[in-house]
Amino acid sequence: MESSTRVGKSGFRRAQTVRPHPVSARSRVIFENSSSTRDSDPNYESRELLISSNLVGTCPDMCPAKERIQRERLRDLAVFERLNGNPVKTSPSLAVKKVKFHIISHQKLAKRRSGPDDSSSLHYLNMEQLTKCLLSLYEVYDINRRLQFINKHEMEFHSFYILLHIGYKIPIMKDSLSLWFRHLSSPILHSKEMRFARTLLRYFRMGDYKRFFGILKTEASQLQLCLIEPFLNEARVQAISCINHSGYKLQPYPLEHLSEVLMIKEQELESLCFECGLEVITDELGCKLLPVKQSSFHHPKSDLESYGLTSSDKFHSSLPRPDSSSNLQVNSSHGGKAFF
Amino acid sequence: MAYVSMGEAHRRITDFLSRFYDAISSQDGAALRSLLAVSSNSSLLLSLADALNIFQDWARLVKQADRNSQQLGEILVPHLRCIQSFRIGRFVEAYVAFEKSANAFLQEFRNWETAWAVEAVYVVAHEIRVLAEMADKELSSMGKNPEKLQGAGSFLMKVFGALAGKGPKRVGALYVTCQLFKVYFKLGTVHLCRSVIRSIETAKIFDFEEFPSSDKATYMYYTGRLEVYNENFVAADQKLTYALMHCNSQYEANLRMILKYLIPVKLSIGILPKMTLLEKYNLIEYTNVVKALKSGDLRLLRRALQEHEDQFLRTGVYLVLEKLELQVYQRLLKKIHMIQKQKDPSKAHQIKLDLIVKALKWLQVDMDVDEVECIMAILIYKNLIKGYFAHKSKVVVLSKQDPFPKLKGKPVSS
Repeated sequence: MESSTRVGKSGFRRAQTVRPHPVSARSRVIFENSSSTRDSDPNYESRELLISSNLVGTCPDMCPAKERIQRERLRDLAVFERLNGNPVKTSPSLAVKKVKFHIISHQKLAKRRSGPDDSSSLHYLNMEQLTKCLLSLYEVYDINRRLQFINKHEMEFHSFYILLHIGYKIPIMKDSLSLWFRHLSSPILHSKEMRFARTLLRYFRMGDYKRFFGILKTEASQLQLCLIEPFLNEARVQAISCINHSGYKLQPYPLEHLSEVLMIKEQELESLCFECGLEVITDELGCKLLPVKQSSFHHPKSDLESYGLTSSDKFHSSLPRPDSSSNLQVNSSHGGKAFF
Repeated sequence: MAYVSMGEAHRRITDFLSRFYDAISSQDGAALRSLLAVSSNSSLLLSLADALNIFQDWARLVKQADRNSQQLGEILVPHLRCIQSFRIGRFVEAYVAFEKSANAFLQEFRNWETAWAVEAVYVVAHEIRVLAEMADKELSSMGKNPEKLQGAGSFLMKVFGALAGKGPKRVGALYVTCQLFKVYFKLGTVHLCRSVIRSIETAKIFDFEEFPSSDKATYMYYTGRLEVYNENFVAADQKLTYALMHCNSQYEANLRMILKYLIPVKLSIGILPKMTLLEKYNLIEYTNVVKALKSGDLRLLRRALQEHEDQFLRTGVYLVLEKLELQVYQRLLKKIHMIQKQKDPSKAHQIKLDLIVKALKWLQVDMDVDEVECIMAILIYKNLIKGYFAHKSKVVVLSKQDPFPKLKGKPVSS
């Protein structure tokens, strides 16, 4: 390996010096920064980072060696990785778009019930890809930081990595979160987006369902909500389990109140209870109640349909108006188009 | 740099060379060590470096020595170049030379049947890491990519391979493992530790008890830290305690490093250190955490985490300390229960949620009834409280017997 190259997880090598390459003609892969694409940020200077060699695949995780060699030879840069369709141009903002794509897919895949078409494995694969994209993106940010550019998206996109730890089904991260924190810079760690993600994870790990949903209401951005949405039911099941275990037998828990706390429609909450093997009763006034200390509780047997976040009328007036760094949407059904 | 005459320079170099050849021919590991420890800045090597800078044609002397004795030129020439470069602060050059020499040395080492040179291997393993770190610093300061430590890691794996056999050389494998740990921790590629750990712990050729005591302590320190990061507190406790017990009590700095990780682990399993321990080893960042656990002061815990946030994040124990919040809530509730018992023992086991809200407010922690109910539900769920909560009556009812079970060396159930 030349001492002047930097090997990145994105899979392509950047060389600072021109070197004659033994294989065929030279081509240039040009990294463009955000300001030369639609997401212009005036603080982000335009710079070209020249790579004066063929595409050299170096990422050890993504393709087997044989395939990598083939891709190098055929200059096979994936469609999503090409800037403006140019087969040798890619860019950090494309990496950002890739991540957004995977987050939206993540949300949509979770909404489909697992059936004969086995969307749960697709969902798992998608989460794996999402993780890999995020890690590549962080490498790009690291390179840029050495050149002293801080991208406006960095904080939010770092927060996604933390939020991925909320789901139980996440692909195994290489190292624990504690180790990941050790190498992050202070400005990122202390950013609003990261603090939110860290706090949310804390509530989730503690089992504090009340504040988990409470903070989602007030502090999550659109993309963060998309990412978290498929995990919400796990948090809700945890809450139901906890209440069923700790409640007073003679005082069944009102479903309406619980649905407000768990930010879910009462009907959907009832379905969720059934999935957990719990029965729901109705009192003389027609109010639905969850009797506690039911021994039939079990974790849902199949993959659950993802229920979004719902806020009741009570909360409407206190909700901030949606803006670009927006919070909760009532009955979230995000259109993928908004992000491309 | 001191002035040295040509004659004196020549003498120093030939003296070093003959020491080197003698050490190898007489299989004297201890003698060889001192000739290899570049970064130690021993007077021997410093004076040699000065000589090398005066007598520039020293490579010829090595060639001559090689003709008269065994062929050690491949090791010696880059080694001397390393010493020369190191002396004038050219650390990248020093590293590159050392790596070349080390590779040649390793090749010879493989051929020597007995384990006489294992001591020297320790020095090589240590030096390659230290020199790589210095080289990387130099590279970073020049705006270049620091990749020497990564290279050192690859070399150390080769060394490990040379030691991992049935013969007597295998006793050195744990030392090299610890050097690898240090490299991986520094690089942040901690997941690479897994394969070496697997080799040490599962390969039949290794008997852990055979390894030197100090290596075992170091090994347990690093593997204990990994258990902390993965929040396996029982395993972390075992390993870090082992490290503590087997660490030479002279090395206070090492004891402190072990305690830095052991204390959060102990706290997680309900064991509190004495304040005197924290003071003795200057671990005052944990003082308020311990006080908060003793008094149930939630505000104090949060303040302690905030005050030392960066430090805890860098150490990697922040997430562990965060989890202590539930134990603090338990303690607070215990206090409230005690006070109620004094007022009216017959009704003390029923605590109104509103009262807990008030107590928290007094601690400047703002929580509503629903949030408190949620915490009560969790505490009961995780067996920190025995009892139940009644939603309609807005009260938590404690069991009359042992309502606040102790952790007894086990972490809070997840």
